[in-house]
Amino acid sequence: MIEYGSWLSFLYKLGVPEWIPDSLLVSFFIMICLCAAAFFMTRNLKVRKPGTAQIALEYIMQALMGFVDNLCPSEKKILRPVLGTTFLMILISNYIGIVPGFISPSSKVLFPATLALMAFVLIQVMGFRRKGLGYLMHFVGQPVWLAPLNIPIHVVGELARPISLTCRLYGNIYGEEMVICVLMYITLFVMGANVMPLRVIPLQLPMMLFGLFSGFIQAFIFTLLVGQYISMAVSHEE
Amino acid sequence: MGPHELYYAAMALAIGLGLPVAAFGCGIGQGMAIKGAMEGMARQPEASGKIQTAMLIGLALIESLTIYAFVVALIMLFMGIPSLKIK
Repeated sequence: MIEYGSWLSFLYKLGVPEWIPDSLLVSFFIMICLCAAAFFMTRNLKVRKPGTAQIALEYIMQALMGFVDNLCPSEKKILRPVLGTTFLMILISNYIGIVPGFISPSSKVLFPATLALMAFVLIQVMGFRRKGLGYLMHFVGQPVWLAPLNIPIHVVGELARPISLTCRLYGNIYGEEMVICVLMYITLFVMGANVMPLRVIPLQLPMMLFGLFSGFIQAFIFTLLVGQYISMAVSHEE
Repeated sequence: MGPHELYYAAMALAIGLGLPVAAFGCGIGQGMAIKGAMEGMARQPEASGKIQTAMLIGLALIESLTIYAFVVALIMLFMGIPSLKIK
């Protein structure tokens, strides 16, 4: 299978092993960029006369915090950093596919699967942390005598969550990229095969603009669903 | 017509007919969900934030069915039949 490399594929010549996929390099690049941005934007914060960067940072932080606090108000101390960074990471990695020379990490299965596994572990840990062993009663269900029927259903439902989270993010981003690819192909080799001037018409442009929208929606949905699952695991009433 | 050609012809038909069926159902379902949410929002504009969040979750869950169909189509497209690949 041919991998079309990103700008970071020069790292393979510098000694990065071949089995590390290209999308992983891009996701580490995004991670380092986010860390560096967070580090340098918080260096000289001022109460009086804040700079442009500080105002932008405060706006983003406030929006993220409001969003996460609404999801699960009882656990906001833990969920603020976790879900906020998850949202930012997914958003940037959805958008970086638009930049020429980069591939979107979320258009490969690896990145969404990692995030979904992390979310799965987080949901279970939060449930056990809040309710102790009583969290297992959530699997038994309400009429206790129906437990043999309820336990398999609940376990399967719990295991289906990371799979559906993975498939949703991966399918959306990959499908959108495939549509862009097909439209570019149509422009280059079908419409512009005989008529040269038609080659410059960017047929994929509306789809790329839609990609900006759907990338945001997908990051939003992923964070929203994880927060919802956690608040379901943490809440006392069934 | 060998097994490869037959496989790819059948796959083109399967993907071309299967994905629109999934998209059809998903479109109807999402339309009904949005219709309900819009009616609720028009009746109670002050509850629009909560309705919107619930609507987005519902839309994501409905949409994931189409995405499953899409992933299955991708698996068919790129994996092929293992026994055919050996030849």
